[in-house]
Amino acid sequence: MSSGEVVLRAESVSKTFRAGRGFFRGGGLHAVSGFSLDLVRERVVALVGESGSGKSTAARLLAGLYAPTSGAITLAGRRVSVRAPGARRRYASHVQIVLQDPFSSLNASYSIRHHLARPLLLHGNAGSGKRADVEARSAALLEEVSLTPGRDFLDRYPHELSGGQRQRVSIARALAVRPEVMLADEPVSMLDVSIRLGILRLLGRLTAERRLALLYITHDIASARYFATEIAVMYAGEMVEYGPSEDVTQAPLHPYSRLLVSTVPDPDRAAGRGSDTLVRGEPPDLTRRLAGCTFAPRCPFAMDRCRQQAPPRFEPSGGHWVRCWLFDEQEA
Amino acid sequence: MTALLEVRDLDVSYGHGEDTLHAVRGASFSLRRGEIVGVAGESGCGKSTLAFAIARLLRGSGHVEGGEILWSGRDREPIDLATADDESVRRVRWSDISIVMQSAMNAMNPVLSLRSQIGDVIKAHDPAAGRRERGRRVGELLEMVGIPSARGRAFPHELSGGMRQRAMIALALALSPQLVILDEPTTALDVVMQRQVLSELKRLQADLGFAVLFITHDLSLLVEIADRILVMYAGTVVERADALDLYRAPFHPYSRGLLTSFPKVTGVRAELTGIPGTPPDLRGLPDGCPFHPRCASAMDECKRETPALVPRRRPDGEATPDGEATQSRDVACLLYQPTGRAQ
Repeated sequence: MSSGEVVLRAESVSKTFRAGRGFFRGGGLHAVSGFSLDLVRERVVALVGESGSGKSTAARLLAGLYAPTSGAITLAGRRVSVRAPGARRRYASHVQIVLQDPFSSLNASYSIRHHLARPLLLHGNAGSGKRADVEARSAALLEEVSLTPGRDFLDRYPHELSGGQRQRVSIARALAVRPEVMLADEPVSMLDVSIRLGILRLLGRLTAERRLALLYITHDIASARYFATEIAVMYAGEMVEYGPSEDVTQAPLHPYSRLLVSTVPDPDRAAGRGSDTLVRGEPPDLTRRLAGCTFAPRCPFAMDRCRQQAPPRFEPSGGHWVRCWLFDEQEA
Repeated sequence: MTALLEVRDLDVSYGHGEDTLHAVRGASFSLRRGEIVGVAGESGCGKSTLAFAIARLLRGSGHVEGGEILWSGRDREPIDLATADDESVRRVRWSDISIVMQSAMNAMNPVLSLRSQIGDVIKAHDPAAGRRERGRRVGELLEMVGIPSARGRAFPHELSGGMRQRAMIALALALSPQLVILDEPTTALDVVMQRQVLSELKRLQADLGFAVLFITHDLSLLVEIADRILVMYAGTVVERADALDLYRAPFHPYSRGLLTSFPKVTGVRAELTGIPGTPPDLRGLPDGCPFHPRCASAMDECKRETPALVPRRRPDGEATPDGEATQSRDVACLLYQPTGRAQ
């Protein structure tokens, strides 16, 4: 896929949720199917898709919060299993996740000091473990995420901070374990537009300084263009397109990627107002498996073949692939 | 043309005495029939308070401290919603002015089907309509926003986020209002769903001709949908302009900051500058222009003088004749005022 040191790799990972009775009546919900991705040191990969596309499930699989139904996740070449006692914590010291909602991901009854001291002590990054040492390290973490002076924030509580500041605390907490991989699940979508940029810049700086491999999950393909080196587009639990971010946004191949690009608010298009390429329909029902391409029911270019046979990967240009029959060279 | 809604020097506060928080200070704007006016700004800038004040839905200690909210509804004498008695407000609310809240999940009653929630609204405001008549109107409303009328039997939790938000819009349109206030109607949705809901809204607005007050933190979205835009900062309107004028040439440094905060998916991959710092604490606003601590163009005067919202020149540099200027561009910034160095 790309050169560089692969830290975390997913190979054909699938996740099916079984809910015997009730909602899904036995069949199971195919949240993620055949998901393969490499996370490389000092690089940002964006995972883009709408609600229900499986991008958050993919993040939780990578974070070890869910065990895959099939497929393998390897960390620095070693197969990951988080079922053994203590394995979850060992894995968490390498791979950290930052969640979407900074209002619920911090515990309202504890100070910021507690939020940072706990991972420092649990993962053995607290130096001597003495109070002064923990405090100095916590303050340094806060300064690293531009909450300065760090000591001033230690005794505050989450409700005293703004959304942007809380998200910075979540990031500092993730850094406390000195991870190699950071999974950011919609880290800015709950924040004001004006605050988003600062958080994304911070994540970008940390990727370079801490030599992180970063996965940026978002429904906003425009921010992925600016922030990520590569973009993977997900639809209905499958990756449908992957390539360098500028290629994917400027010359999207998959009809779904084109839809995503066309839905971004763009004042430059406002001159020709009302010229919406309106795609109807809702995200697919993941409890049913379609024979062909999962996007076919919503796709304006769908052919008979699309409804019968799932498309393999086609790679019209180097490093940029798509799962869509429109790009079958032999056919054309 | 006379304005449908005329807000003059509106002050809205929470609390009393020393703890008073001035959420909206001296806001003025007008809204004509069939017009879409957008209000943009960060969290805490007073944009939602402004909406709640107009709908007379301020919570807790919130109250209008001064100013007027003049409403000229259909064949009624203009009334001042800031001071009118509850009964007059009740007559205007929903049938003349309706509001769509941000979180459609929490705004609906979880134990009632869509059909009965919408039916209740019609029943309350039009008791003469019979059961059958109500059922017909509910079906029409749902179809209008793109929900099959059979789905009227569904409960809120059975619908996707986009469907729920569309059902909220159907609810707001139940009594054919002349003004619909939309408070962050698409913020909880992802971009694809947002696009669908917005297209739906624009179509309905063109068909039915209601006016819209659209409140959001996302200025890029407003430029696409609104006719005119108010930019709010720390409770005051800092710029008021036609949507495309504002996009092409934002005057206020804060408007400029908002417009350089969001990435664009098309065109050149331009550098994003954004706005440094964080939104101000309304309890401890700095002296002078409230934006000066975050402003790259701040001068010494900005720390002392509070700029008023006054008409300014057009982007092409030509001064506009009086009267027209107040409709096209007003800005509250010393850079554009006689004492400023830009003059």
